[in-house]
Amino acid sequence: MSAREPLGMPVTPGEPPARRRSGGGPVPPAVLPPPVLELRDVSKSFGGVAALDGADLVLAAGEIHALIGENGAGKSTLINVATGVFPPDAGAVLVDGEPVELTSPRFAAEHGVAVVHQERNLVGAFSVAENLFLGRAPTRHGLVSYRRVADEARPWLEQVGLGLDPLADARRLSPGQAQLLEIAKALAQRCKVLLLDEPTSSITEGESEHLFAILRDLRDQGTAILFVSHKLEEIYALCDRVTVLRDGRNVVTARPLGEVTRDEVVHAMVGRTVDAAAAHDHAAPVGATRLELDSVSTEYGHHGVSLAVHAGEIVALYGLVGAGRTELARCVVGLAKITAGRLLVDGEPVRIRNPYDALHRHGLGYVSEDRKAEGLILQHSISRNVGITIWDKVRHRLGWLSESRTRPAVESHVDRLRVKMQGIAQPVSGLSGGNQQKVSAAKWLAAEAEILVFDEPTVGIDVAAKEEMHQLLRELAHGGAAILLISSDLREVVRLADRILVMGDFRLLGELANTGDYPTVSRVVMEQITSSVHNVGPA
Amino acid sequence: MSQVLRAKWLPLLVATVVAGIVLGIETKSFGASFNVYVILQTAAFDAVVGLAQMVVLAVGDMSLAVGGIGGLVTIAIGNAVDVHHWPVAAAVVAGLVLGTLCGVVNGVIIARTQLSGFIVTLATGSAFTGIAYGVTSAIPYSSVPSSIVSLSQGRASFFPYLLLVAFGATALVGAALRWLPDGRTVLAVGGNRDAATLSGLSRTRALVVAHGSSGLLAGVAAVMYMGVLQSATPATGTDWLIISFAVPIIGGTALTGGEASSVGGLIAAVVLATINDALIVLNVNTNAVEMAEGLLILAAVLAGQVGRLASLQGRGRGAGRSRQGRRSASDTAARGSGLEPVAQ
Repeated sequence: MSAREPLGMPVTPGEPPARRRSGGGPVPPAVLPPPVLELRDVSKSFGGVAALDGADLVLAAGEIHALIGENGAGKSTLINVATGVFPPDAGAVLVDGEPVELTSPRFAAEHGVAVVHQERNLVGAFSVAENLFLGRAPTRHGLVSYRRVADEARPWLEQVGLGLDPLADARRLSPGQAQLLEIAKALAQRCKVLLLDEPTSSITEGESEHLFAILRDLRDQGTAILFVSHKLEEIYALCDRVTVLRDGRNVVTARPLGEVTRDEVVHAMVGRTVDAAAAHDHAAPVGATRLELDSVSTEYGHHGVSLAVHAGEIVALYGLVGAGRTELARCVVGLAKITAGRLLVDGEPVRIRNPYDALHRHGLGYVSEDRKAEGLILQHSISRNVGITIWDKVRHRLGWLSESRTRPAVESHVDRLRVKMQGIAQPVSGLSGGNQQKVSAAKWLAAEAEILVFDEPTVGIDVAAKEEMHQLLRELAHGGAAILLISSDLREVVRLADRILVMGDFRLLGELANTGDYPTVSRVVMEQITSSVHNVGPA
Repeated sequence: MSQVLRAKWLPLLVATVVAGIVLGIETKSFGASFNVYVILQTAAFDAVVGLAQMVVLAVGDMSLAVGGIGGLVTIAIGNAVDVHHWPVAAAVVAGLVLGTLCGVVNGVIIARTQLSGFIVTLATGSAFTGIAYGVTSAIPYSSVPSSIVSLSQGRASFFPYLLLVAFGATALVGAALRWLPDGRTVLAVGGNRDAATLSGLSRTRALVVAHGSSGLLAGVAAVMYMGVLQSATPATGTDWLIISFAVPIIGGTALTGGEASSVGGLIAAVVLATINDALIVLNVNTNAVEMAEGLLILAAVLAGQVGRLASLQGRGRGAGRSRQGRRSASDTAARGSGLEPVAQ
């Protein structure tokens, strides 16, 4: 089962590897070898929300297969099912035509399915070579032989073009080198299927080119490669076939890229349906500038980010996962450092050192995207969670807090948001996701924050709760709040925002007024994102 | 060579040697051969207790049961020799096996329950101490075998034989972490738990190996201790906790796991023993000695933090970004809610 053998598979005679696309020409309708990895009619739900709903994936030996789709379309879930991270609720996984039950990543590896996750999984204190063989280091007389580790690592490192000292510390690698090391690690397991989850999201263009050359090489040797990316240029330059997912279903299944135009792909990703409820009150009067960023750079690597949010306005910050939106919000509320540029509140340059400053000196609140880890203290009651921002206001003259003083302040906000609960003494952990999100938002309302950053306020909540959240955001804006809405849900953005800022790779890629016309807006936004490789960003 | 120059304990060692030379010239008693012997004897014991903690820190866990195991092993050996008249060698071997088993029990409980080592070893540690007191009714066995005493107190001029034990243990632990597949497993699980388990390494095995070795080393320390004290008392181990953490931390072992320096620990033990002795020779209040140790630990931890931050910023943007992102994401909801930051 060596990765070097699949060429021995029944390839149609008279079809040399030269049938591969060179340049942008169309692919002749080739009879591909039978699939190495196949996912049939796979469904998977998390807490009632369907991440995959009857999705299919077919990977053949010797192809690079693009998998694309918007955030939340189900790409990562599909990869996790294919590698045994979790089992599908329904559907089958087939390796070489045989149904298999992949119960763990280890098991998938034994079937020759290797994955390179977006998160790098390296042990920093170990050498490059030892990471390559993690858990399987060659030994001599029962002792790890570093000479053999290094010697056996060298060919794999060379294969991916890593001309490194195999004994260098893995933590010294650049993101691009770490990416290549992960691929070498997968190859060293002699995989015949290689799944790559956004391998180019954190590496430079030069490193990407190098990576592509290696992937083409592997393909020509017969490896089946799945390539997940948002960058259409890359996909057209590299891949043979494409599968597009939307809402956990296939919109396009394994079509040769030569037959599909860019426009078709973008359309397939975002869908054509016009959102009936897209009507946002775009005539909302806009007041004074409340929050302003002026050429801000941050410790995360943002560069030259300038934006303004006015009273009564909802400004959406749209981008793909990893674009740097949450990180920017963290810098604004003082959880991370702004290294250059100015942050202004009401026209005054300010320095916000922590969220305490942000809230109590500038009325600025951040509703975290991760309500369970950052938004709420789950085992505490609703009352305590909402009251957390106003203890200073409701405490007794002599300093103590009592339920009777907190209750009225909390209740009005909880009622306003129509939180479904047994009472405000109920622990937040027992609430549904949507109601938890309302509680998370309520504490900022109680604190009377007027500049609000909502980070993915409707992720993982049901449709009705989502509608209520949207209603709340509109009401807040009408009441004069300045709202920065971070969202990966373009429909939500089109529905709510006055203006849309597009972020990619820690820079602002562009800004557009929201016309409320979903197809047009989505096309412009996706164009900006997919062409961001060559975009230098705003001046 | 460059690795030695970069070691975190190097400045500390240089400062200690300089201070030692100055003290040796200024005072008569400090440089005396017997005094150096006492320092090194203490250091030898400290080093082994430190190793018992270090192997657990390496796997990303901690053990509060090092002292408890030490006490139990002490009593087991004392009981076997004093009451049951076992041969000394058999009693010592049985004691070390018992210590290892205690550690293995810790490891298994932690792996099975997914509880933190802190909780589990807090509980088992005091249980071990309790057993030691129960078996003896709090009365020490005073007839420690002469072979153990002569090993613990033997010396060639200023050089205590115990230091050889410490050298041996340090070398073995260092080599095991470097060359044994199980040692590498311990460090891999400690360094990046997800990467290790996704690569098919067993976290359970790593925890059992780490805690088991910790128990064995605690047993060795117990044998050393009973010889120095010439008494097998159930109170053994009750004051080992701080030293067990101080030695590896000052020696450059990461509290977060994944990295361990046994040689660093040995040097830290010498430094701690020297400072301790110097303060006594200089007639400093004994309470101040403990304070000095505390400050030293703090300084070592801070130095480690500074070093880590510097190496983070020196790395590529993407790597630093994701790391810092994850670290800051672990800030609590309370902090994100605008509560006043407290000293961390």
